[in-house]
Amino acid sequence: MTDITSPSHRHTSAARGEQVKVLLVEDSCDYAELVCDMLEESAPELSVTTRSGIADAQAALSGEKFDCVIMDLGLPDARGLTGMRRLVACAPENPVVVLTGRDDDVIGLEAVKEGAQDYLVKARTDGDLLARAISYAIERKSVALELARHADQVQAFAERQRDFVASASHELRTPLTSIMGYLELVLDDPDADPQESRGHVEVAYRNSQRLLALVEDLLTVNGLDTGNLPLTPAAVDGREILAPAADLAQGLCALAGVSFEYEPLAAGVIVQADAARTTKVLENLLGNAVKFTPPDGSVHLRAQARDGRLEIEVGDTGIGIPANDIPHIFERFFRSPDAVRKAVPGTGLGLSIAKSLIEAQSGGITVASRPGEGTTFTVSLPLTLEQSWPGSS
Amino acid sequence: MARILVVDDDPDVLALVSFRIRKAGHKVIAVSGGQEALETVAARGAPDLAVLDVTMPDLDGLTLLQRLRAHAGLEALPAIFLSARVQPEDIEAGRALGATYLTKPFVATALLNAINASLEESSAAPTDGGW
Ligand SMILES: Nc1ncnc2c1ncn2[C@@H]1O[C@H](COP(=O)(O)OP(=O)(O)OP(=O)(O)O)[C@@H](O)[C@H]1O
Ligand SMILES: [Mg+2]
Repeated sequence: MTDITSPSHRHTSAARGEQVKVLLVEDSCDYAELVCDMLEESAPELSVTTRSGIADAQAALSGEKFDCVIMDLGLPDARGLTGMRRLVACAPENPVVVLTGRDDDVIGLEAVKEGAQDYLVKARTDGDLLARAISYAIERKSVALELARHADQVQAFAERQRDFVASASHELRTPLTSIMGYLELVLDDPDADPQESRGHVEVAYRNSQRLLALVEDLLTVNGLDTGNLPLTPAAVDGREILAPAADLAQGLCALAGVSFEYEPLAAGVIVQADAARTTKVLENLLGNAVKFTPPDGSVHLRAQARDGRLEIEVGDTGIGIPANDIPHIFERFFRSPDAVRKAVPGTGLGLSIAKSLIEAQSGGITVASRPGEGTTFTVSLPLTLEQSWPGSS
Repeated sequence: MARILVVDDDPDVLALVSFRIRKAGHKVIAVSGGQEALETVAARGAPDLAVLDVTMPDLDGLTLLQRLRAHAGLEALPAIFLSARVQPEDIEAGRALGATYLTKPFVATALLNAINASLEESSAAPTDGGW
């Protein structure tokens, strides 16, 4: 989360030393002129535009961007706070300062509660005071907006978290249903055929493995969400990332009757990455490639350094991904209807984890696929500086 | 003996539920998705009861039940939802269709009791079909 108190997040014109545009909403010409004169003397960086009613002010605000609105409450087309409410509603990002003839604490407080940054009484306001009120109002408003944005983020996060827990509960219950159900079958019938019982236990065991993998994925997702997943990037030789994934894929492909092509990377291609986690990502991509490739197809893994990046390609000659599923495959819990219909096991977390992990390392992941022909995922990671700037070492 | 349609997208759960129901003496037709369920019913005739998963990729169980009930003669098809969704609003949505709602993981006796209760309640007496 960002530090909302840090000044670097505030970009007011005043802070940048630019001209500050003030909209003055005042129906008395004389007083408007007086305000302009006072401000010109106290704060020449302010440029003041005057409007004499709410409707005109609204029109000005919709056409032009102002940094601050100063308004009277006794305007011809809207008296009291009604007019202020309308202005606040039509320009919620604008700080509003009330400058009125009426010295009334109750209305003043009410105005501030309804979004005004300040309530000044004409008779007791001079140029310096007004200039200071304007610059404070702008600052306060920008902090308030930042806080509101922050609150929105927190709320969105809480909502995502709630959805996540509900989805996670659902996903965990599915393997548990088989674990408990098949064990219950065995327990219910002590005289059952041992062969049959063994079959039931095997299903329970398989689902326990599935449950474990799921728990690990859920922890990773949660760690990514809460920033509790420390990545330890270091300069590593690309082969250290690729080789263990290639070994695993070799085994998976042999089991599935799919051929595997691996072109080992040349030595000395050094990337800045968390090797263990990046290997996991490749294993996941290779696991998908094998899952979605029918027997006699092929899966490949190859890598090359290009334009300051290591590009790793995991390709297959499998079922491919329909074009309208492509935008969703990196979403959590997404599995193509095709995958489900064919009863390919999985939860739909693998690619979302892969994307987050790779992006957290300043890398990228892309996909190209043709239904019926195959799919290729490309992961790219930055090379260490020495290599992307040849000659500097 | 009744004819029971079982729909679940998880193959292990589908096999488990079917096994339990068969052992209780019913005829089972097991399918792994909503579309397949609709096609099967169209081709092979009406079941006496449906046991349905809720979260399925092609068609969710609630919609599936409504589509099934749109078939002539199936307007009052009794159903049991068997779902890993356990939020009160999910359960409410299932019951609103007049179905029994059981959550996963489930205990076999609970499922079988619910099946018997639904069959007894439904007016249509089980007939000998083509399954
Ligand atoms: N190589 C591929 N070929 C075809 N479809 C793929 C391929 N890789 C991913 N997909 C599609 O993208 C979906 C999401 O993949 P992802 O790895 O996130 O989930 P999963 O493999 O189903 O489950 P998990 O990885 O969590 O066990 C898959 O279900 C599948 O529909
Ligand atoms: Mg996967």
